[in-house]
Amino acid sequence: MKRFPQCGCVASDDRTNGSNRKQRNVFMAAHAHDHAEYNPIGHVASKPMLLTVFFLLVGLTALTIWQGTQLELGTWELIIVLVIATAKASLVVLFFMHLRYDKPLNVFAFLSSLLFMSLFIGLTLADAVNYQPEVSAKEEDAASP
Amino acid sequence: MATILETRHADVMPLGHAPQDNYLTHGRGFLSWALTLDHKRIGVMYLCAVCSAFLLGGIFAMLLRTELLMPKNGPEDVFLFTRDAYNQLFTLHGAIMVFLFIIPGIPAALGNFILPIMLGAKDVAFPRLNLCSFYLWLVGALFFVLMLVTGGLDTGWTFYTPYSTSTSTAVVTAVFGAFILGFSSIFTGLNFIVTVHTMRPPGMTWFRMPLFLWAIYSTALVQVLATPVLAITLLLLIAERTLGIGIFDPALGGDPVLFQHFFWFYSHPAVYIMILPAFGVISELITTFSRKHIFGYRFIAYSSVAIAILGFLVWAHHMFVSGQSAISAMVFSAITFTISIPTAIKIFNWLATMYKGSISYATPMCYALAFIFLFTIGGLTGLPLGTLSTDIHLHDTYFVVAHFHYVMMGGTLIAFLGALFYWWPKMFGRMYHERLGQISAVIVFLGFNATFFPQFIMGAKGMPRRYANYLPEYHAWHVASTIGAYTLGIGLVIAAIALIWGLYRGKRAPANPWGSATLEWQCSSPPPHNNFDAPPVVGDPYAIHQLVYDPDQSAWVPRQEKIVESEAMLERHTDAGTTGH
Amino acid sequence: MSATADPSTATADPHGTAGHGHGHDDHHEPFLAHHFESWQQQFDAGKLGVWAFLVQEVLFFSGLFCAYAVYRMLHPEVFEYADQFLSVPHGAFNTVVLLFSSLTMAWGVRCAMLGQRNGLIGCLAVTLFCAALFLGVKAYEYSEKYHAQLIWAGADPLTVSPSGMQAGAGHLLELDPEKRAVGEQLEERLASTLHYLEFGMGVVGLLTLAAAVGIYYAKPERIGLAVVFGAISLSAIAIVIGAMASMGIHHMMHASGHEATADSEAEAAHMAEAEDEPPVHTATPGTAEIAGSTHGASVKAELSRPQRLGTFFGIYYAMTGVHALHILGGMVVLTWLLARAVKGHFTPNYFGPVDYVGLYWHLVDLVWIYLFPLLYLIG
Repeated sequence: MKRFPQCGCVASDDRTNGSNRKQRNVFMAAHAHDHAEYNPIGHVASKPMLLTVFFLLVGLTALTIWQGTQLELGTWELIIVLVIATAKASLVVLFFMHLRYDKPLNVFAFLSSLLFMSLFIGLTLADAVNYQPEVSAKEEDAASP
Repeated sequence: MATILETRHADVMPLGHAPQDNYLTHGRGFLSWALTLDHKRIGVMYLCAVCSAFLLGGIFAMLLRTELLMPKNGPEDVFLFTRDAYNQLFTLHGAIMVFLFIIPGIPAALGNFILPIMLGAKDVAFPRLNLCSFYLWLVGALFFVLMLVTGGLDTGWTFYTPYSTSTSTAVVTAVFGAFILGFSSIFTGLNFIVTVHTMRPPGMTWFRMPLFLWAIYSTALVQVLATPVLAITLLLLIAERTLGIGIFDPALGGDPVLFQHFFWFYSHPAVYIMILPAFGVISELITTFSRKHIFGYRFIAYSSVAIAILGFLVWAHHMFVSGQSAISAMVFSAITFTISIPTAIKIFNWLATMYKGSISYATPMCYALAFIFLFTIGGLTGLPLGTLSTDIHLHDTYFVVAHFHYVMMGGTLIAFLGALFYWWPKMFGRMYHERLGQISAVIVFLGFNATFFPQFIMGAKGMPRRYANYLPEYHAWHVASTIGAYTLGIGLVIAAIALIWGLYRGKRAPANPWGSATLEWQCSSPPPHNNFDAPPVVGDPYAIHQLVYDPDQSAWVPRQEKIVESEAMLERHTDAGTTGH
Repeated sequence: MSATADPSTATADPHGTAGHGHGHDDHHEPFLAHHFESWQQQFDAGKLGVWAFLVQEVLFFSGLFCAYAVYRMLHPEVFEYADQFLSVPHGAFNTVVLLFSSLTMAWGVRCAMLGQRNGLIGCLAVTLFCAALFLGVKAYEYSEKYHAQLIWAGADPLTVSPSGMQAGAGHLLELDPEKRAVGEQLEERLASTLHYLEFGMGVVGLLTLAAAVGIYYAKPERIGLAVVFGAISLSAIAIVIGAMASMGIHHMMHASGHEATADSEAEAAHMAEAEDEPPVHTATPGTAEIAGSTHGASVKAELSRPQRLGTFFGIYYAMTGVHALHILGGMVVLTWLLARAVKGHFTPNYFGPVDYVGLYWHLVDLVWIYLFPLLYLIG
């Protein structure tokens, strides 16, 4: 009984940390067991959540190994590998790094780094692909005198 | 310098409300400076450091301009320096000026001092990291010195492969120095971003931030987003040179154009690291010395951020003739022109601010006016360089040299000097020599144009950059340029005299000598250790009309207070000098 | 240390601090910097700073990913050929090790936030152990590649001077032209390198352990130093375990005679083939592509060595090397945290450093999450 106010505290803390989204059921259930988990400054990750995320990550690793070594998918392979890696990365970022419960500013900062990274890689790659024929032609010239 | 100031403060009785305990007198001895966490002292140490670097880079510039006084007959003919020595001269001039002076110049030296006070904060968010940045700068500078004594550098400041992996000069030392300087810059930027986000006092909203802070904030974004790419590039370059990792070296199957992409992804945004703080300074100077509220505050603020972001989209315009694909060249050329929009917004807003203003020609304003003139020329000459067809003719000629000197030197250095004169009274509590300052501004302006305008003409006629020799037809232009460089040097010496004279003989500076409404003028000159004895009153940073000049204190005071004080004076015939706050 | 908040109260009663969570009133807290108004402000500033640092890290790594993307796009056959030399089981093992260390790190942050000192110490120690374990496996992989001459372009005699190849470049080739024997030679050399490593690390581990215990009993007030030595000892032992485990995985894969043996066999093939036809340098992308798509183990012997194999390994060593440097950096800060945790510095109000190091550690994990499939699972 005494702990209900604490629970309220946790909820309000979430709001101040900028997370307006409702907690998902899994984590809600986990939350209900841990009224004692209060911190005055930030969101405390619950044990079931941490374990769930870890096992999901291991599962996705197994999936990507199976897919990478057993399946022949041609060009799709790279895409699928990257999709699975991104799923894993998202899990780490959202839960282990508590970005899901963090201030929008920190989310924005992290996303902007990805944006600028893709800009850098994307434009460089686009150029490299376009000048490569010229380089290859020169290389062939040099190879066959 | 510090000890001199301390003794002066100790034996001169403070006038008015000048505090006995300020940041200069708070703690004595070498260690109180070397281990200080006070952003103001770190700023002053940075100032001394970057000015020494500027002096060194300037000496190299003078030497190479002197070498160019005479055309040579054939490769054996030597005037002052051998060809190899000349290659080293321009490389060292460029590398020192870029990495040791311009990039840390305004943000790390003046920004460090001013930013927290302008914001109304006690310090930057991470004082220890701030000191760490300074020492990283020192270590980077030491590597540069080490490079100077162990074979120098002749790659040009851009370290292009494959030459940088094959030359016998001390490339690794220099590159490692630049790598460390990069982290110094990243940590400074990180510190400023966090400070602006989390250390604003109540009432200091984003749109009450002075434009200098917007500019420094935008700069910090670029520092954090672009510099790490330089860091990895330089690391890979070191690996390429020492191990032969095969990423950039064509002999090992690598790709030198890839190196240029890597390098310019940092180094083009770095141009905005250099110029954005200068824009911020000019915004402050123009409004203060025109005695008018800044025109188009939000436009100037947003244009800083816009420049910072657009600056990431144009890097490959440095590579039009480097073998990049035609399609990228077209795309990057097109995006390059968009940069001129936010830049022009700033220029027009400054002009509109001056329009019908009551302009006073104090030294900072002289430099600000010089900035607008020179930067506009620099910006406009960027257009033919961003255009594909004309760039093929102008690339790697003196036209490019003149263009970026008009922007970097006519822009950043002039703004740096203006800012130095403007904040000098705040930093050291004494006024500089006004007349000498004005003379220096005029001489610098004339000398600068004499140096670099002929280079536009030479470049358009085809004089290539980085050559120790030239055809006789360019002789007159080179002589003009060299004489201009000497004039410029004299102007800079006069500026230094005007400032240093102030430290010894200058009038004691009031809290607000210029009548600016930004927060740093609310605290005493020099500021106390904790910046503000009482929490500052945050309002419109450009509400200049609310300040009036009080001849009794020879300082600017809030309008209402002035009225109250004059009434009090009439009634009681007492000196109102102690209520300046 | 007298001013340190008592950790035992924090452990016993996590709510104890809830009532006065924002430390406006007491500025004499040892770890609240003078220029911050509250614990919350200090924490938020630190957190934003760390995120900005992570942004910097992402862009730092982006250069490596960019080089990878460009060369993979332009020379996919090189990557497909090179992939057979990377052992998936070892990579997978390391992936799980890092994921687990991420779990313990996140758990450690949780403990710190709840004021559970012992839990925090345990979690940090496990995280540190996993970090060193990772490096142990990496050491095995690097030694293996070194002995198989799978090395960056500048160190690879085949790339540096194509003509020097006949003159016995690649000393392994001279040992025994028989594939099998080359494979065995390779393993012997590898095992002996690893024995040196294990012996050295074992000595370091024991010495530092002795130092830690000695300091703990002789000078209990220097507990921080004892923890540092203990952490070094733990790391050294973990590196030994990692190297031994990798050798174990290697033997397991070898014994099962499955596709995974492609590892050493392909290396052997590479050696044999390199000797058979010296001018393989002229291999055109076309033939290599065909070879890459027909995957059978028997075909491997005929695979021609692509010209840019050195570039792939240049990128491989750069990416994994820079990542390993980040792991090392992480181990240093984890050691620092461990010492502070033992001293009881962290409270539910002041747990920032644990959280910040945690974020950094997760980012290192994040990079590996991409490196693993991009390097080991090219297919």
